[in-house]
Amino acid sequence: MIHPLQSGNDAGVLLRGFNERQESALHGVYEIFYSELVFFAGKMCRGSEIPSKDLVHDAFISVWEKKNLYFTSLDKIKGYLYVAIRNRFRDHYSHRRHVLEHKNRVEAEGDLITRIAEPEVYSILAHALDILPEECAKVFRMHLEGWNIKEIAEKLGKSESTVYKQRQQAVETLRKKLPPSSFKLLMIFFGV
Amino acid sequence: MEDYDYSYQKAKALAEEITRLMCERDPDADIGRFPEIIDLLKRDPQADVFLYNMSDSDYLTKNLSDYRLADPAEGYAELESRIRRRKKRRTGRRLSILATAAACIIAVLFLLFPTGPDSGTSPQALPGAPRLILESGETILLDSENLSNLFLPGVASASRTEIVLHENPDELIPPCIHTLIVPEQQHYRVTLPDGTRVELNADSELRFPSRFTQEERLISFRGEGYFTVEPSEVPFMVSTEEMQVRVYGTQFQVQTGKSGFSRTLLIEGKVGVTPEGGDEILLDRNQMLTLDAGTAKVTVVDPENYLGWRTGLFSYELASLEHIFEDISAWYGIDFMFENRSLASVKVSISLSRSMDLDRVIETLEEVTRVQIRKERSHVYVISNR
Repeated sequence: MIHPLQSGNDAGVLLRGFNERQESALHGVYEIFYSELVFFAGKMCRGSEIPSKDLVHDAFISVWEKKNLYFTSLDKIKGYLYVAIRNRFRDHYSHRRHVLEHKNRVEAEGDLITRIAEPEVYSILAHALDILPEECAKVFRMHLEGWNIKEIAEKLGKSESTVYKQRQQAVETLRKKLPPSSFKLLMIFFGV
Repeated sequence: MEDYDYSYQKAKALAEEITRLMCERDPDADIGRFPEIIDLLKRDPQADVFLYNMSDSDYLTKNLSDYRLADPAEGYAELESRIRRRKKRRTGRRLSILATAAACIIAVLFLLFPTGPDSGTSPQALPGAPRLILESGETILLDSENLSNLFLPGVASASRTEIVLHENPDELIPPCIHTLIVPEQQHYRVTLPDGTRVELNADSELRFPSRFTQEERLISFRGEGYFTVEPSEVPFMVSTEEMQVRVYGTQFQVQTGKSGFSRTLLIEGKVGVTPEGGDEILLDRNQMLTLDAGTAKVTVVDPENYLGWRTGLFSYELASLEHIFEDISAWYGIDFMFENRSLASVKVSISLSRSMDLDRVIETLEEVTRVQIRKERSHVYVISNR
C-alpha cells in the first residue's frame, strides 16, 4: 500500500491507472483515501440517519463513472471526492429535511475547509505512527495524548533523555515528510 | 462543483501547519498549543472550533484512534459489488428474442391506486429528485420549491416533473449544454427550445443545448425516452453511444443500455437510425429496431407494450416476462435473473400502477404467472418455477 506522502513512481502509476479507470487503481485509491473520507463523511452525518459509508461509495462511483474526468494528481482526486461527499450529503439533506434539524445544515455548509483539514491531520499523524520504530511511536503517541517528557519517562520506565531523543526523532521524521512551512500560504488563503 | 482543488489545497495547508506546530511545540507550555494560529484565525469561528479541538489532547487521541480503526478492506468489496451491479443493470435492459416454446399465461389485472402518475409515491419514498447539471458542473436539484428564483440559462420554467426551455433565448447569452438526470422511480418531461417534447423514464439522461443552431438540432441521450419532434427544416438528431437517430418530423421512442444495446420504436412519421459504423436504417410505423452488439433487427411490435411508463403504468399485452422485468428493474433500480431461461419468454398481460411499491408488484406477478420470485440479495431477484 502506498501513501500519498510517499510521492514517486507508485503514485504516478496509480494516477494513470485511475485516469484510465482500471479497477486495480480504484482499489489502490480507495485504500489510501478511505480512512480520511470515511472520517469526513462520518462526522458530517453524525446525528442524522444518513449512512456515511454510502456517501463515500456514492462519491467514488460518480467519479468512477465520469470517464472523461481526468486528474493531474492524486490530491486532485481526493479533493474532488471530499467535495462530492459534501454535495451528496446536501442532496440527501434536501430530501430528508423533515428529519434533520436546521442546525446540522448550517454546520455542514460553513466549514468545508476545517472539516477536510481534520482527517488530513490524522492522516499525517497516523502515517508517522505507522513508519516510526515501535518505541519511538509509543513516545510520540503519548506526546500527542498530552503527556510531558517527565510523565512519559515515568510511565515507560525510561530516562528523560531517552524519551526526549525519541520524541525528537519522531518530530524530525514528520518534519521531513511535510513540505516546508506553508504559513505564508495559509495567511494568503485566509486573507489575513 | 466549486473549485474542489482550491478547497482541498487550503485544507491541506492548514492540516500540515497544525501538524507541524503539534510536533514542534512543547506540551509543557501551558497556554494552549498554537497561540500563533489562533491569533491568526480568530476572526473565523469555524477555524476557531477546529483549532480548539486540535489542541485538546483527549479529543485528538480519541478521533485519531477512530480514524485509525477505519478498515478499507471492509468497504472495498461493497463498493466493487455496487459498481458491478450498476454495470449489470445497464446491460439488464436488453430485449431477448429467445424462441423457446413456453407456457403462455394470460391474466389481466387492474391494480390502480387512486393517485395518478404525477402525484406518484410520497416524497419520502423517492430515491432522489431529477437533477440538472449546468455546464459549469453545478448541480441543481429539481425538487419543486424555489426553482423560479434560480437563474438557469435558457430555462423558462422548471419543476419537479417538467422543465421548459425558452423558445427565443437571449442571443447575448452564449448557448450552453445542460444535462438532465432522471433517477429511479421518476418520470420527467422536457420541452426543448424548438418546441420538441421529450418524456424521460427513470434512470435516463438527456444532454441538450439551451439554444439550437441553424444547422442542426442535436441532443444526446441515454436511457428510455419518448420524443415528439416539432417539424422543421432543421434536422433533428438524437445521438446515443451506439447510434444516431435522424428524425423527419415524428413521434418515436428510444431506449438504450450501455453495453451496445438499444431499441428505437417509431410511433408516427419517419426516422432513420444509423448504427455506429453502419448504414442508415429507415423505420416505419410500429416498427422497432433493436441493436445488440452491432447486430440490427427490425420487428413489428405492439407499441402499447413499450409505452406504459408514459402514463404511470406497467401495462402489457402478451409481453414476455423478461421484457416486463427489464422495465421493473429500470424503474425500481433492481437486478433480476431467470433460474431457467424458458421462463424469460413466458407471456403475460398485466396492468399495474408504477406508484405501487416493489413488494406489491412482485406479489402480483407471482399471483398471475405461477413463477416464484425471491429476493436473493438486496436489489437482486431470482425468478424460478414454483
